[in-house]
Amino acid sequence: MNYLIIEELLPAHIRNEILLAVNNSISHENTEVSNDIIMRCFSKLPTEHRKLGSPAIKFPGYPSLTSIEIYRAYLLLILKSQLKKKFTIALPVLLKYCDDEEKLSIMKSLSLWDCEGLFVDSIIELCRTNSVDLFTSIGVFNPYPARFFPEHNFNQMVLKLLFCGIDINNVIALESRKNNDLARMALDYKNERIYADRSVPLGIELLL
Amino acid sequence: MQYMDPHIHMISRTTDDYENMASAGVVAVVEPAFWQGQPRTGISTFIDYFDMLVGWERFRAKQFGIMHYCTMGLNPKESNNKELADEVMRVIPRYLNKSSVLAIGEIGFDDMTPTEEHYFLAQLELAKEYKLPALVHTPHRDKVNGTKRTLDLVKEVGIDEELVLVDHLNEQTLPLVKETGCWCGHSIYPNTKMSEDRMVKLLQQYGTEKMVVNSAADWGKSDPLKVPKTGDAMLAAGFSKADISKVLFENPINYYAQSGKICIEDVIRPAIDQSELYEDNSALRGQAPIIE
Ligand SMILES: [Zn+2]
Repeated sequence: MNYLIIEELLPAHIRNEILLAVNNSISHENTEVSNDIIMRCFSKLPTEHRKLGSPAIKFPGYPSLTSIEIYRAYLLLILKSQLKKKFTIALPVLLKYCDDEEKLSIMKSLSLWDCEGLFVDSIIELCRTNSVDLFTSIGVFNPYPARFFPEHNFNQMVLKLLFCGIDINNVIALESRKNNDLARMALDYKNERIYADRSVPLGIELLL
Repeated sequence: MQYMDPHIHMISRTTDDYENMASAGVVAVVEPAFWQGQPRTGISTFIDYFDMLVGWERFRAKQFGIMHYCTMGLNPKESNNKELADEVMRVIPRYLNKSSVLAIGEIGFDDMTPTEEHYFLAQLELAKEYKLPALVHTPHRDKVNGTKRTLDLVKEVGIDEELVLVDHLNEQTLPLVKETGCWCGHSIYPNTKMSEDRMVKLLQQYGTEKMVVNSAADWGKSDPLKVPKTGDAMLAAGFSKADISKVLFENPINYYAQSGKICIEDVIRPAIDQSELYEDNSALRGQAPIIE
């Protein structure tokens, strides 16, 4: 279980802070109040981390996760185990309350706490609307899209990565999701760039 | 010279302003939540505004090499709409722990009504509860009286005076704040507030301790370069570079550092990467991006 591994890694103070917030949140009837309690804890973790002198922790197999992203993954795992089915309602609301840096934490640790693909619709929505940093955190070094995105959305994501100049060599399991539509879209895009006398995006040959 | 503008409303400013500020040495700004020039009609426009302060505007500033922080609060003018004010008070706590939110503000008096006082007090309590600095606006009309009442309320709530910055001070109101533990803010704003030369005289008379200077630039006729311009005026009047740095860079950062969210070392110029896009919208329109 991922949360047991993280539990070992977390400073006791952070673990208590998170458990307290989750318990506090589920004891409230009013869902807005519950969500606000979780959001405030989620936002506060970087400040708490600074207060502790910023001790770095690493989650095995996920070298790019920062300490704060691991704390936040723990919060989501605990919340999921406590809320059970209601977690599917709570998480999209939480996402709406997040700033970009907070959303990025959620994206980078997706596979740790959503191994069923419960939030694929929310993640597709995020692909549509966010900053390049955030979009990158979904699109590359992230096993989630290849595992759960429907073909159309996967293709759109890969195309947008090309548009943003992000190296699609780092899309996890790209090979297994390649399809004719994607090849056609990539070729059209390559030609568009050539007509416009612009450089051909990095890694586009992977799709052709 | 490096500067911080601790009170400026960037969402009303252009990309030229950002460029000019960056080249004049401004490395960081704090944007207090304020009113938009016309009354808002519902809570959702407040939420969108607050989200913009922690989202799009922060991103826009970064593209020009400027670090952007904000303060969250219900502004004095709009606290007179009680129904809406209560809804705003309900959503504010959601933002207070976010990394880019350094204080509660700007709060305080405009017309000095009982309703304004009610929400001012409630937000001072919030600052106390969240251990956050409180940025307090002083009114244009009946300023001396408004400043006195402000300081009384700060005492009444019992918030640590170190956490409070009383802003838009002048020759009449600065001495009142100097008698307390509060920080002293001055807005160098054409016509209605302070000028650089008057500011220099105040610094000569009162020293540099807990003294802070901002442009308060917004949608009105104002000048986002007033902080660097005050630096020039200080230099011309014989202040040392260390003094200038203290008042126009270190003091504001140390004030906001009480939030536990920033310190001097954090406030270094972020590398400019204008090729980054935000929500598919670059702030650039066709010109070649600068990448450092
Ligand atoms: Zn202001």
